[in-house]
Amino acid sequence: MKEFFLNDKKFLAYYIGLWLITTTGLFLVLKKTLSWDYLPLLADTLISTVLFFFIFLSLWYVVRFAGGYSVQMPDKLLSTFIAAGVLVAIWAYLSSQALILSSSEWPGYGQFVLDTLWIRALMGAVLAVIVNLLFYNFYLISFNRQAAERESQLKELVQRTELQALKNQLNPHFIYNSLNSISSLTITTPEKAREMIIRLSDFLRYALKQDAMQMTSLEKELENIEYYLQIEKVRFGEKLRYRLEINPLLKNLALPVMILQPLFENAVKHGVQKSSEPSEIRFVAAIRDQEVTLLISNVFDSKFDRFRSEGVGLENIRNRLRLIYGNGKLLSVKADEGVFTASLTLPKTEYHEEV
Amino acid sequence: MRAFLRQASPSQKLNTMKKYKALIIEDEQPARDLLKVFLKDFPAIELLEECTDGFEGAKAIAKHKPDLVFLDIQMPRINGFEMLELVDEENLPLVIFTTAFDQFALKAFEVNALDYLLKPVSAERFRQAVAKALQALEAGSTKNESLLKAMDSAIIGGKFLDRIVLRSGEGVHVVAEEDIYCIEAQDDYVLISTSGDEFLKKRTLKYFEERLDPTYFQKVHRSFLVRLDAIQKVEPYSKDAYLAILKNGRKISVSKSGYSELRQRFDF
Repeated sequence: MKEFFLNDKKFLAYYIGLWLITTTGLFLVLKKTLSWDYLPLLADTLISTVLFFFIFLSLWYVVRFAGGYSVQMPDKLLSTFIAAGVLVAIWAYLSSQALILSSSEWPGYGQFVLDTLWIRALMGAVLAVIVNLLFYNFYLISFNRQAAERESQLKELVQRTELQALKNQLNPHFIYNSLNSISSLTITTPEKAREMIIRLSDFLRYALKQDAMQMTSLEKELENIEYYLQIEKVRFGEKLRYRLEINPLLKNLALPVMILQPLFENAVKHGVQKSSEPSEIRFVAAIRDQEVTLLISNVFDSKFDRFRSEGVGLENIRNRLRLIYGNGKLLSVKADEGVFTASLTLPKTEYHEEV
Repeated sequence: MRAFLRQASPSQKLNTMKKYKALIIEDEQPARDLLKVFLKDFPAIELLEECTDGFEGAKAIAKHKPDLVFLDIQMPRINGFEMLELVDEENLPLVIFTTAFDQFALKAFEVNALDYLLKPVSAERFRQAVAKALQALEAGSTKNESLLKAMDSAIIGGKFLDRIVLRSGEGVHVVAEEDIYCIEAQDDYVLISTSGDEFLKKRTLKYFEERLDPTYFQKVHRSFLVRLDAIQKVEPYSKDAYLAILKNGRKISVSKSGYSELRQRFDF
């Protein structure tokens, strides 16, 4: 709500237009109905409306701030009407004083102003209502515009995260390398090639049908991790070792689909691929009160692979956690004495398959 | 194949038994197997050894001095480019890179005619690449200019170096970019100083000036590239010359223009 209505040309035009119409109309009516000369009438009209124009600019701030960011019509209008009443009183006083001071050349005009003060105040009040509604209308329009902007920004964030999640699930490097392995196996051991194609298909089926918000059970997620690790094992052979410890109580733990996969992929990339020795990836789940902590760790060679900064993969997981749980800090990582550990803390909730 | 050899080099008729030595340097067993199967079609190429990482590869190149190497880029410990840094220039073989889709690798090759094979490797592309390599070997090309160019642009096209692989004596050192204090030009070599060690490497200062992130590194003298964090203080030395004292106690010359650039960087 940083906009001041004067910055909006359209509303400024409305406001000035309102002033022009009022001023001309008032002058013509006065000239027609009263016997005073045009000069005092013009002075009267101009002094009254110009003062009105500036004093009532301040009403905008009342509309803008009254009731905080509330858009509830009654709340806001009540406080603005009270303010408008005060402003009308101030305006009536100031304009009449100014007219009395400037009307010394036209004897009797000062008295005429005082006599008609109640009519002036009434007209001021009518105008105040119109101005108030104009401001309120403008406030509503800009409020809605900003709400729409915020909403579209949020939508965009969701879409971007989903897109990235999809990209992340399908690391092209992993797929091309797997296909290269399969190509080799078709010559050396065709039955193994067939087996690997099935694994890769299972993995892709799981990875491709998901969107960023979908949930699954820990058991399902780990089943898919196992496919993934078996595919990688064809590439890396004995170098890749893994141990997945699953507490039977946690089989049905609800978690976002494909949330563990990038963590395992990291472990393969930094633990197994960069090592010339056999390297083990461990998965452990620990229950603590209403929370479950999932730990994925791998050994890495700190001489050749420094932990520098977190990659897009981790950022992407955090974005998804932010969307689903409203908290990206559920994921933390640390590299300590050659062991890299990613720890994911989730609320202990059961997953129920959607029918 | 024989038809190709005749076409490529008529002189080959006189010496059809000439064999070229080759190595496969690749960490994944199935990928190695595939290359081996494809190589069977080329009797002119003798496969001497298969290596599973960059260190083995560098050693095997020094030992066998092969004519042709099939080199994977992503490998344990040091990558394919870094492995080539460990090879003496006179031993540099012709290289055919093998890589899965990878932005930095692709960028390297887009601008160069050097050959590379994308995984999954097609038999046809393999034949083309090897034919090209054989043609080059037949022509007696031992110079590997396109390779050197590719290595250069691989780094330029990708990102700044985050580490330097160095050979010293028998050992190999991996120096992280943030551990480099300064690099000094010394004829054909550069002297790389870290907090505790110094290493000589056969490269030009310009090479590192282009490849180290200028956010952290600044050339302060025609012979010195320095890491800004490593500077402890700068003091005047003589008219138009200054000395920078580094955190490891080393003093290096700073020229007048180097000094004014430092002033700008540090805002003093």
